[in-house]
Amino acid sequence: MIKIKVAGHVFGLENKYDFVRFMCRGYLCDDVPEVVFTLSDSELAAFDNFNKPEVREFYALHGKIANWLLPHDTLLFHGSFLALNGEGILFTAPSGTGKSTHARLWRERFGDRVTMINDDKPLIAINKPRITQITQIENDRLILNNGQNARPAHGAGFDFNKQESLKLASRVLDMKTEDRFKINQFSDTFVDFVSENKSEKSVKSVVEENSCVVYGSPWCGKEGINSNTSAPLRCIVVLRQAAENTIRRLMPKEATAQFLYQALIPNDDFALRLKALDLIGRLAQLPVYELGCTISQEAVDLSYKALQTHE
Amino acid sequence: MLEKRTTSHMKLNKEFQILPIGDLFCAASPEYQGVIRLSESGAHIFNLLSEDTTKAAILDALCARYDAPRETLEADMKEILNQLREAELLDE
Repeated sequence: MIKIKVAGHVFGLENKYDFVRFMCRGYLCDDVPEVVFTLSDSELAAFDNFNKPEVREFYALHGKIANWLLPHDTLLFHGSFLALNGEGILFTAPSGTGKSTHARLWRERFGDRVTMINDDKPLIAINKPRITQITQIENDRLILNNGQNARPAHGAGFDFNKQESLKLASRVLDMKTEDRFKINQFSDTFVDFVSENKSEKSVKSVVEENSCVVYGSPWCGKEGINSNTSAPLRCIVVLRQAAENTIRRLMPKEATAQFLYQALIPNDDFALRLKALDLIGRLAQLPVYELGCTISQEAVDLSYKALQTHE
Repeated sequence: MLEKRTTSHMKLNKEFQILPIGDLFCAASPEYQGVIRLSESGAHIFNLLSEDTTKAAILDALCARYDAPRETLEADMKEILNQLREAELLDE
């Protein structure tokens, strides 16, 4: 048996072939598994489109892991996920549209600042809406409170902290940078600050946010591009081949229609199917764009701008 | 034949749950593999078809609910019914 840690969970895999260990080499760990998977003959038979038995075993185990993760609010999604300076962007599209090609253009453009996390089947941990309470004291002063319902998101980087609070505030106040705020007081649960400019906006008292973290995994497409790391998902870009480069924001309704084809929706288990649909609906509340694109740096300009908007 | 179609009774042959998913509607059933994507009016038709009904009754219900020409609603309805027939989900 090998033990691997994927999407924040430890799995024991009863493998016949060393191929599984080789493919999972970047994810091996020594922790106690939360669950151990053994494959039955019928489970292996479901993957008989793979000729080699070791490859069949590798993908059948992937199916087991992906199904097990669904009740843990984690969805297997078809796409290419990368992070630029730690901020994640997911490219999705039907096979052959050019996700990997677009991701490669990002690497050419930004070099080492880009981390390729998974080029084919990233795992998205989708938290229930996090509730952040916003109290507007004056038109230039806000208090953000993480409220009693708040809980930290899966993985790193999403706990209530100063940086996240200020990002939220800058979105609420329609401001571009964090520099325009002066903090009066700050603790683990609240931040009280004054903005340099008086806001024209009157703020809702409560903002709900879906917060998602995307993980790499050993199952990542034919090029084997992955890293054992994670990043917060800032926006999703649906790619479409086009003669000209254009971008537009999709309504949650349009996003859902796309995601129904790109997410893993189990056919054989009704409860898991409902769970997958629930997660797809939550994912569609994130910023989602459709990028009509050519293979060009001009297309990267547009998707880069989308990420910047939601950093 | 046409006369028979408008008055004949119809009903879904499986029990479906209609779920609002990200501002869309989806129908899913333990007895059916896969997920059916529906518009709002499609979801309404699905609900009506969970019990024994007729084409005329469905069309009347749609006309009462939506402010759209009867012909448009009828075309929408026919499209959905055809999809259901193709998927062998309709008893009539």
